[in-house]
Amino acid sequence: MSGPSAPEHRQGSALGPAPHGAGGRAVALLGPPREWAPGIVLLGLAAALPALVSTEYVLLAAGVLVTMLLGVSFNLLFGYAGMFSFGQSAFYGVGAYVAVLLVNEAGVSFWAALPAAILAAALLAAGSGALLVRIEPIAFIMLTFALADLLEFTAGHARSLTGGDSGTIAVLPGSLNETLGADRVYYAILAVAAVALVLAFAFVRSRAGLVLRGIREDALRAETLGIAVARRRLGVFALAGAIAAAGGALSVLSTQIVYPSVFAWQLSATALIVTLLGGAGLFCGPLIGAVVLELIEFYVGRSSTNTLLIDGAVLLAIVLLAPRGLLALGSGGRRD
Amino acid sequence: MAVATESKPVLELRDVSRRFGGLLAVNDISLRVQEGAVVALIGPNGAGKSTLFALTMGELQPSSGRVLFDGLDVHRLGPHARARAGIGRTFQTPRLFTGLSVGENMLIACRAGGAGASLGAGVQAALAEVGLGEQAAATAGSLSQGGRKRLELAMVLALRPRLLLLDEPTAGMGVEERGAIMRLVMDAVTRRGATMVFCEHDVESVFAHAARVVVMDRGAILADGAPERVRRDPRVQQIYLGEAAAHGGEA
Repeated sequence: MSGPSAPEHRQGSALGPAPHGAGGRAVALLGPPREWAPGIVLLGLAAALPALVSTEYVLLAAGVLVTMLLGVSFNLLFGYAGMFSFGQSAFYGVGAYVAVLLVNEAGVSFWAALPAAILAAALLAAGSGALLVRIEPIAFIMLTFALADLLEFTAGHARSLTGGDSGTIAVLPGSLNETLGADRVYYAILAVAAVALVLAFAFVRSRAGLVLRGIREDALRAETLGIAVARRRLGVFALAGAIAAAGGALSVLSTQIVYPSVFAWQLSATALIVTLLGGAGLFCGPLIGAVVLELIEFYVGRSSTNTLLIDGAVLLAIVLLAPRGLLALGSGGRRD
Repeated sequence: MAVATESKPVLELRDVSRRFGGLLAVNDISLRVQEGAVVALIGPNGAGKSTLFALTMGELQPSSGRVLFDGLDVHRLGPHARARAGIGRTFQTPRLFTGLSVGENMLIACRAGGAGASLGAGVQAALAEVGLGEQAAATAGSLSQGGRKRLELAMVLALRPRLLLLDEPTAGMGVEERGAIMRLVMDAVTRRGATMVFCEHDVESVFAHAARVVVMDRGAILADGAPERVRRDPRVQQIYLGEAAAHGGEA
């Protein structure tokens, strides 16, 4: 009763050894290859991409990677922990603004600003989460939305710092300027995104990830088994905030400018759509979803500039044709 | 009653009441359960048995009165802290992680119970103990009612609780399965010197295993004592046991 026990600490650490026997197979932490094989294939493709396609598509791929991080952030909460956050843009935006302001105002390098931006978002998530993880699901949706809204308003009105609605141009060195080196920018984004995705994958496959899925299934059962549900939810909320912030900070490299709209609800909706599109509760769900959505927006966007219309059509198609996501179409749809 | 006054109580309820709006679900109950005791809690549906469990586990707070575990007032402790302190419970309708596999359910419980080394083997052994050894890979939600009961029981036993609260452990089971499950429970309880309180409608299980029977009716304790004495109590016969008691008495 006196604080967390030793196993509790170990639980959050790393991938455990694969257990043996029939039960061991059932609980093996690496999971079936259909879980992680698409990720390996995507990574290989991603690394070879600049050699295969034109700059236009390399920049599109950079955008896809950023959207993947946003989607994974949402999926960690919604798909794995059963927490419907409609405010992941809050942390994405904090990542973008903290990175840009540190580079522009404090003169630090982007690579120093990136971890600071991630940390800032994680701290914001931990602070706001102290309240948010204890409230009812509907209130959680509303307040995460409100948090992002509040930050968008603040960024729009703190003109001396953010430039308000005119945005802030990122003063990046030539090596990270997309007009000077799209490939370099792309590889920078790919490297960070790959690390973040592998860490997120290790997390969902760890015992802590399993416990979170248990909480998603029945929080009271978890609680009466001695699991500190609020603390687990807080932990994943902070982690998801950090991953969204990594996406936000990296987005600066491809956009080179930050507007208050990085906090907008449309980004939170994008996180939701790519997750549902690929399959919630499947690690590769938002990865596949991000590729498909960005490609649709890219091609359809040439003839129509209304991405909201595209998002709406995609959402409608998911609900009608693949309610458990594209990845579930061929596999019976059991999620993690 | 000697059992009610001697060695130190593991669980003590002092003047506990719980109100839901206008309904007094638990009405000023005081109860002491001694270490190592096996107590059956019986009474008609709506008597307040499950509410009493929820108050003990910390899912509900009493409207008035105190709950003591090991002599300490636990009102500040949530369910997870009480679980860690040594209280384990099952639910009338089993609560499982239904979307996860049977093995994953067990793994979460074994981890929560502090099982460290040879976790895979421990999970498999615990499942085999309740007859679910072959179903580790099945989705928990696909189990029969009896299977769900047995899985939940195995999960709670994996916590090695000092106080075990079982809400109708044999509901939805056949006669043979009931006997096997109660033997399993009693074995685990006696081996570890644990204390058990169980709600049960199956009169045979109650009188076969409980050393003390507490009868609840409309939120209050109607009778409390050795099974034979409770069985003969005319108020108990009238309100709850009815023909089942008469039948048991003849046997």
